[in-house]
Amino acid sequence: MQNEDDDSTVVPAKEPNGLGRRSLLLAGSASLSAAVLATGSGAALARNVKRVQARPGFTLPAPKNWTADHTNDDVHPPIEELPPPLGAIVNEDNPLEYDLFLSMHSATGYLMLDRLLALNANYNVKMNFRPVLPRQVPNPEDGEFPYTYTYNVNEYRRIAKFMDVPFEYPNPQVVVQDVWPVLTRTLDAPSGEKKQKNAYYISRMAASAALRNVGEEFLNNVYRMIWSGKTKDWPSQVVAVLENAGLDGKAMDADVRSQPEIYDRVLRKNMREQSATGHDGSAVAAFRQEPFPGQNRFDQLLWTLQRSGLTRKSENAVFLAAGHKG
Amino acid sequence: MTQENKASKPGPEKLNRRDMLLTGAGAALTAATLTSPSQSALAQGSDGERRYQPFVGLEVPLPETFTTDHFSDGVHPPKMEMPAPLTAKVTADKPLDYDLYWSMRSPYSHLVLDRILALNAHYNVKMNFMPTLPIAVKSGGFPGAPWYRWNYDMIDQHRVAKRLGIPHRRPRPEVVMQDTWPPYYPTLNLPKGEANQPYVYLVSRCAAAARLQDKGGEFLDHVMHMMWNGTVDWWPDHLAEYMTRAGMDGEAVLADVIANPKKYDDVLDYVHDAKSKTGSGGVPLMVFRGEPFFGQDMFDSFFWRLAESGLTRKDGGPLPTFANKV
Repeated sequence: MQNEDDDSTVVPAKEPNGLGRRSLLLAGSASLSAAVLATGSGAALARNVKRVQARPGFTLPAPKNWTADHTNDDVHPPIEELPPPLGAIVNEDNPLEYDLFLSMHSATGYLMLDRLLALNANYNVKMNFRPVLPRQVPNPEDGEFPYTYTYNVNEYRRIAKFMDVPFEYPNPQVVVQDVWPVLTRTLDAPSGEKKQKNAYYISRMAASAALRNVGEEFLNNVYRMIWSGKTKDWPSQVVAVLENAGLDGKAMDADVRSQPEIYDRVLRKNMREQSATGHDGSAVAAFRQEPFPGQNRFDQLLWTLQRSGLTRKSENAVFLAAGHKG
Repeated sequence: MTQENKASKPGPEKLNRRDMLLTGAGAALTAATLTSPSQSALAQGSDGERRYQPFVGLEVPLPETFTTDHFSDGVHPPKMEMPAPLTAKVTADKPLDYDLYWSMRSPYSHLVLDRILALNAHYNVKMNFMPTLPIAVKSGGFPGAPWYRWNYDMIDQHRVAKRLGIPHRRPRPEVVMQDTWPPYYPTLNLPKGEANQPYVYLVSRCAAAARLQDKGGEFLDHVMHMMWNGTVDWWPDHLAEYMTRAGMDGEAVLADVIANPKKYDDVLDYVHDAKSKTGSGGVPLMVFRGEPFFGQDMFDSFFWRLAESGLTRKDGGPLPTFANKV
């Protein structure tokens, strides 16, 4: 367990810890905890008692991130107030910048691909493509609820039908993972590059595209190819698809194979910066470090950009219809 | 940030899985995984014995549910195809039935509430109110959630509420006692059992009473709103009054819930069992013809599925159109 006195750059003002509070709850001081919850000050609770419990897999303190800094539970004042929206005029010279942290293993990222491309094409934004390694690959032991994977697969297929988007799980898998038969699958994913050749290769190719500033072309061609169910054996088609799109696929492939460490550095940097938003999901858009994970939050991203003055490009104003609610 | 905490994780399941991956048997398993990720050989040892490597909280085999019946990994076909939409005329006498699984402590349940009430008021549907007791108060927490889950949910629920124009403030007192503050020390520990969780048992049993009296919609409209819209500062004091507004006898319900808790716990147990067959463990959960729709952001898909099966308005007017293509 980490000594929580370490690393003052990360830890904000210390608050009473859970151990003290839980003892008070168990001692029948329901009124005390109620008062604490109502006032939010926590002043009545014991201070300076080290918190030693951590849930399996959690490090304490958590890494510095936007979400923890701004989280508001309607009881305690947040560490930092939410920043006000931006006020400057947004145009082609001053677009709104957002990050797209994306794993090639992400189904939900693919389901918002068309919306992202339409946003980029029609509005004064600048997307920073930040590919990451699928999180299962370096940390295969992160858990989730037992029903989640099976439910999600059904839901993504349904969303694809609802959005009228061609969709199928890639074969071979981007991340080698035990998902069949459905009742006895373990969701185990072996870790390390040797056992996850495709995941490392395609993530490094994505990093190469990011370095060459051709993220959108990569997504529109390669990412789409992986997830639209029309290509057998996608790993063998990556170079050809890039070349057809006018990109130097052969050079990218050669460089990724001969100097993988350059691209691994890009991927790791992106993963660190993604954690700094406060969400490690497979497809997270981020505006001013605020995370918007998954295709479900595209609307929120658009609305947040609009609140900071988002404007359409003047020439090709096309109304974005996809997936907008209300 | 170091990874030391991961090495010290307890639990025999995790050690077994790591051992298996590191031993000869594990290597053969992962090699099989590499070459043919979907073969059933994956779940068998070299002696033909079925090998289970469940992670914490996962029992295998999984229960058979709608989601396992319809699961496809893109290589193997699902056990069953999706059912064809219903074709009978939908009227006030023959409405479409759906189940609504709910938790009084769920912010996302509150955020879907107005849409559910509007659906019930204006369309020929019949809602089957299924209130749940959060399973975490029996088990003491859920091991699957990632480190950022709580903080991110605080950001997200307020953001969704703001975008949808819903007055939203977490209830005072908190329904479930849980260690959720400060944000950089996410223990999320939850004292379990009724003695430590008086509020959630109380209000969940009242919700069970609403189900028994077939007043689910009214109960939600009055009591859920009261708890979550920031208008009262101590919701238990207002519980009886708002149940009476919902058409129940509030004082009598409170008295009976305290005198005969088992009657209401039986309802909650029944709901828990039914929910375990849907293939999703979350709330809010809409279920139509066995198919689960998890979360307020799935309301559109749920409505779309009802429309597919002939949903009609009570006033005979046209359904809203979906703009679902870019």
